[in-house]
Amino acid sequence: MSPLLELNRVHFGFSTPQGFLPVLEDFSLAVEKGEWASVVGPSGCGKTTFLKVSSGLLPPQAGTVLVEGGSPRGRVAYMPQGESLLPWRTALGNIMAAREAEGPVDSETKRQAWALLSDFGLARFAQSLPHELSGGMRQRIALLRTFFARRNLLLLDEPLGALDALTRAELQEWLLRVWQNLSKTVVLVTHDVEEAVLLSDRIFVLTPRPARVAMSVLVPMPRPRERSGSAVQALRAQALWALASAKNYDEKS
Amino acid sequence: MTRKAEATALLVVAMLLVLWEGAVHLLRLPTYVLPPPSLIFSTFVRDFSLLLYHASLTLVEVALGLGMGAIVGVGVAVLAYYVRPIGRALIPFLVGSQVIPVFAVAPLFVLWFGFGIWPKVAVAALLVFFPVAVNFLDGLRSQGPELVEFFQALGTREARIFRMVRAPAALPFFFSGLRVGATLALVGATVGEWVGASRGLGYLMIQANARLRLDRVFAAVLALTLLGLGLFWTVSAGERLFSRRRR
Repeated sequence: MSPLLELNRVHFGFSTPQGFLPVLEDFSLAVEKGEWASVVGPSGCGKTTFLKVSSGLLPPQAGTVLVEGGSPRGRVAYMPQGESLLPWRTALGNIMAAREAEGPVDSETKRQAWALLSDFGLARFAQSLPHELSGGMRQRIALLRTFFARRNLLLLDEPLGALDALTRAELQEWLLRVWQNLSKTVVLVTHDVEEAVLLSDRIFVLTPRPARVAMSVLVPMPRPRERSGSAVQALRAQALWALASAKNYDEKS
Repeated sequence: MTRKAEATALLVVAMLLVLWEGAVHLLRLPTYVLPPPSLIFSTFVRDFSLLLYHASLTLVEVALGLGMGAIVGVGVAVLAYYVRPIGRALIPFLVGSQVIPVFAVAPLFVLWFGFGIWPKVAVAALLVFFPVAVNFLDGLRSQGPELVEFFQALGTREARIFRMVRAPAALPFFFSGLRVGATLALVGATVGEWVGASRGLGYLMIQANARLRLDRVFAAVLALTLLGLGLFWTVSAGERLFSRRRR
């Protein structure tokens, strides 16, 4: 079976006043259906660019991007970094927007959106506006909205990056529960190696800019994983080591 | 506003009026130079039905001008947003339309549109469309990409993104443009009436001025002020209604 997301020798860069700035260079990666893949890399290495190229928002200058064997545009649910909820819509309205994006919706969609909120413990916030909610709640709504879109592949750009450690740990468990209940394929971009080890089936470690996959680490552990467990800590150390050597590799070359 | 702030505002207004009244009496100013507030109020009450007769037509002109100016303003903003070269090319015309003194174009509009309400509506619309266009365009341009990227990745058509995301996000900007426009529309319609009309507050002011009836001129100004406040509040109420409904 062919992978759900496949990047093959992708090149991408920006033209700046100082000249061409390569961001992705000879970038190849494949994510299988049903998998949770995380992408970690040094900050500013091009993780967000990787997601935008994978979602079709930015066209690659060379190489191919395939989602379900075709062009990525319209085939993925992409959650941008930062505040992306519509501030004038309630939590429920924001969830429904994922379906309204494709045409008028009926009361059945509303019922499903409501059920989704209550299944994952957010029913009492359904009628709240984003500014009335905490940062953690807003991210939960934005994540559920991404899951509510009728897409198999979800691309998440640091969804928990701006949260405090405690809220983040809570959301990691919550997000895992959501994913396990709604068979989707997830590509998570994060700078938190522990988060990647706790959640993913596979971790891609990137080099500094221009980004390339330096190493792919499999995480063959059953979920839920114990945060302080020795296996998690060992893999975390391995991923951190891979990250460090990817940096050194780049500096030597 | 809190009750205390409201009371303070009223007190300030009352003090200014008392000062005005006192100055007119102390300096023995003739009423054809500056009428005292008491005379203006009594003229306003005595001429109330006359003022109502003229104000009603002015209000119709202003409402039509406001509506048309808003529609043209939104249209220009959307065009300039999506077609950047057109936006650039329009700038000299937009600015030009605003630096021409209204007094200069009003007679032209009478020439083009006759003596009915349409030249007044046109002058009002000319003044309204600019703040609406500039503000709405700012509203469209000031949005971060995060709001739309989610929808773009889903493959949502731009027309739908505009309706679902861009337009509602720019709505507060539209309304602040419209609030500025509401007062300008009154100026526009009044100036239009000065140039050629047989009814309207502008016409009444010209007539009263020629007869040195400054009390009536000021009573008409008071009527205009009330109209302006009414429009300003109507636009604000409209904004509140919209921002509730679009949830």
